[in-house]
Amino acid sequence: MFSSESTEGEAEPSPSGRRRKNPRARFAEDSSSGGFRHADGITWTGEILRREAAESQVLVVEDPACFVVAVPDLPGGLLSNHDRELLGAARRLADAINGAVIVLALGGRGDFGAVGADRVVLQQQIEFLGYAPELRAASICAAAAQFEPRHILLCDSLDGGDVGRRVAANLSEQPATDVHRLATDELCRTGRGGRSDFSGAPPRIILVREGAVDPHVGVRREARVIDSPPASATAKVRDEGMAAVDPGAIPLGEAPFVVGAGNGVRDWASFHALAGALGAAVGGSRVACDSGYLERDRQIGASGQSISALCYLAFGISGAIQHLQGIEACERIVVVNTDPHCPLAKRADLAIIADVQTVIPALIRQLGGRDG
Amino acid sequence: MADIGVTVLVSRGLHPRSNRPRRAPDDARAVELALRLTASEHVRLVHAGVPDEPLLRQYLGMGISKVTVLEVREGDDILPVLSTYLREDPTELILTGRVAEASEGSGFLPYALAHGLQRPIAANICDVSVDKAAQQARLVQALPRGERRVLSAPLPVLATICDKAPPCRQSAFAAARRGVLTLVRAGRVVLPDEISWRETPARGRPKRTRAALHGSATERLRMATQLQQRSGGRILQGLSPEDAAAALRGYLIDEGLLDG
Repeated sequence: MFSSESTEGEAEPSPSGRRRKNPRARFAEDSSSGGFRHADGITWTGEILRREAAESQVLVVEDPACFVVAVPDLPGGLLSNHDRELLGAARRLADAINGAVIVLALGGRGDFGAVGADRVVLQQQIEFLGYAPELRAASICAAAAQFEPRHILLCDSLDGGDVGRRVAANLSEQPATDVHRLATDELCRTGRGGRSDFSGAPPRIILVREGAVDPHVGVRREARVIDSPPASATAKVRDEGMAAVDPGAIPLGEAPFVVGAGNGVRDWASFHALAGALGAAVGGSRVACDSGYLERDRQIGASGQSISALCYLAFGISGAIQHLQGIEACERIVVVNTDPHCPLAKRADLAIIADVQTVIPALIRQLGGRDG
Repeated sequence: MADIGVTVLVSRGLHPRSNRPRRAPDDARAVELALRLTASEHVRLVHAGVPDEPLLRQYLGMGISKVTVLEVREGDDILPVLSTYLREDPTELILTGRVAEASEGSGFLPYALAHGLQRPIAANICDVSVDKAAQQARLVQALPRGERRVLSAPLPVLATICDKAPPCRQSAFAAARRGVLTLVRAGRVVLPDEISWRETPARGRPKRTRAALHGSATERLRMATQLQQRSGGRILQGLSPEDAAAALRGYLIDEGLLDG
């Protein structure tokens, strides 16, 4: 029998967080929550409890008609957004053909049950942490021989696309690549340089584009771990390590760290010295390029380049809307400006209100470089 | 200049705006890399498909004297013809682009070809150098954010060249006129059923937005319609230049962009 500890007269947090008297305390016994009571004694009403119940359920598939193998990229050993979308696509395909999703985790871990995996095969060989497409392809082909899946899904990313095409070549099956729409009976991909859409029935090997399918939301799946013997392959192409790159030579659109200069910068020699000391690429606003201090290909903005850097450090840029359009995709924005109300300061993760002319030499000194 | 034979598979490119046939950009970069690697008489161009003479002459204009055309009817698969030809007359290095522009463009052909010829394949390469004595190739793979990975592979090898390779040289009209197209007529190959694609003009797809699942209807609408607002931005005022520089340096170290 469901007994409520809190009476109608006590104020408690509602589902939206506001403190109020529970309007449904009278009907607590009638709620279809199945007798759930929250751990700290507060009675919650039906919706929250139903959701919690659903989240704690696990759907187990015992005897599937067939299998769908999904191989996530697992960059850095973790599930990426593209991987979640891939597993969502695998889940949809498997649900339509009454199958189970097997996740082949090559060199990574994750909460595969929450993203829709019924079974998990973990292969944790040390080579998977680095560049080993031949070994990955061999593992996937071994899994294909073991489970005989109806479909094999991979991400059409730099790594996944390489591995997926190798698997298709090994199994002598034409893959469907860069799929941007996937339904159970038809998929769609682009070709002819992006001019045409090709539609057809889903073949065995499918490579899914990023942002094409929604991830799996809903009931957790079992993610039962299955043992599978590790595959081996002689890697003919060997990884000799990363090459040293000159940060100034990276195209601006790709550079991970960009330093931008605007109207507030007067001493350009020290600005360039700072960029060199930071190992950052140099960009600028339209004003700096119009004045001739920077080349036109260094302009960042609506009519210049769009940058997708991990950090953008802006000196003396106020941030017109056109410039902000160019830095939309940056992860972190830091601005040094004398105006605390400039548009860029509102958009920045860190805004330092100081004179650019004094900060740049101070920063160079602190980085250990020569001044100017 | 290494003394090795290089085969470059060239294909038809289409200009993105005018749709005029032109050199496919990745294929042209592959030819450029081949010309930097070895003398032009050791570079062999192979085109499989319907011969388009003005287009192939654009490749010849880069300084190569002849191109071998394996004539394949429109719509037929070029893989069997290419594999047979390259198996009979192999070179140490085969370079291709990544994706064909004038056909289905799955990017699968180089992999199927490498599998058929039993060569290792390295994808997304922007630079190649060869040590003939050691029979090794040093390939530089282009990764996102300007990073480069160095790979080594034993010869013979197949590499797909990406757009980070050095830009290709211009095509000279006189050299294009001098060049010779050698036509090799291939027999018709009947293949088992593959995927039959239905082709339609591409429609722009709307970008999927991340739908918020929790929260009230107002919050979900706000999250879906507004541009991403950055919250949690700090403003530091009234600092001396040294303190400001220290704050900047500390922030960059925290973000992992500087070694602290």
